[in-house]
Amino acid sequence: MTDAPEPAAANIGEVLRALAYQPSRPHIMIGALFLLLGLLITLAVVRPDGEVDEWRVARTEDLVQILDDLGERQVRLEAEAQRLSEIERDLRAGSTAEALAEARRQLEALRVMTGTTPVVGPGLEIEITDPGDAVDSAVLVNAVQELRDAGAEAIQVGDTRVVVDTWFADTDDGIVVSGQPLSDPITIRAIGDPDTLAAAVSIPGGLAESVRTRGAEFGSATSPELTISVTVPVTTS
Amino acid sequence: MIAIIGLLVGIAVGILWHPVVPLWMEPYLPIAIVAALDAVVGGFRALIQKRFDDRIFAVSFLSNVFIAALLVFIGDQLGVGAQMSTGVVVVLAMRIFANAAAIRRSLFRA
Repeated sequence: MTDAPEPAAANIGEVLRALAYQPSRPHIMIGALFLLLGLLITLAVVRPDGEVDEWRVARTEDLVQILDDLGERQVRLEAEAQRLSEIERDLRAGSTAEALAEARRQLEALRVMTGTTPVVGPGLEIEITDPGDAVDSAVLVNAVQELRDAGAEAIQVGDTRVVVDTWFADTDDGIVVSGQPLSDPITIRAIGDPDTLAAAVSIPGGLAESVRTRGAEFGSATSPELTISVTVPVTTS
Repeated sequence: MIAIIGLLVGIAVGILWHPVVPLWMEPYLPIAIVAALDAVVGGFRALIQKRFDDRIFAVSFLSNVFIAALLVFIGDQLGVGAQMSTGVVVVLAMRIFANAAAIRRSLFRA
């Protein structure tokens, strides 16, 4: 099969003659049948604009999965809405202790978010060994985004706490995080639900895959107690 | 020659006119295409082996499409539509391969 000999010129000629061969009966029928075939193929392949092709071709199981996910999300969001409206009611009712507790909770959440306080908790530690500088800042930005999407409360890249104004850049000497050069291996720590974080980085096309396809090594370990001690100084303006 | 013209005209009509396929017809479309392709490859084989007959071709084309659609329809009624579609496609694909192999043998003697 693989070492099929070159077709002889005479054979090609035979084929062309066969194609040009005129049957005795009119050709209309064959033409009409091929027209039908072309029409069918076009109908099957070309879709009218505006249809979501992805769902049309998705398998039933996948659609069920998507529906389940949406249902779960709805339940979660409804619970969240319920919780928030309860808080609202309590606050309106004017219970001072309630209001104080809520304010403290928010303060703590904001401190974690702005990186002004050390965080200890379960999380995921990632180590990227990249001697060839194949990993660039875009990978790290995506990594931070993925971790945040997965619910990471606090993230540390190298020796830098990732907060709202953290930036990544590529320079000749490697990646720079908010002005600080990043040494190899790159360590990323994220506090959050370890399983969710681990799943988020190992999905197809996710961080682990994009690091490995670039030829760098990716390692991650979940930890029940991870410490992010780096803080950003409090500035008041 | 007329086959290629017909095919191109069919594709052009499909793109320009773009009729909406009724929903009940949707599952039969791919089956019909594979069945028609089977007839086309079979016809090409006959052409190469110099025993092509356009009447036989037309009948086999239409009956192939019809029987394939009928099988899938029956499968649907019996509740095994997906399996029946797969079965029909597998059998037709095997025939296409067999015919393609025959064409290859008579063309290249390999």
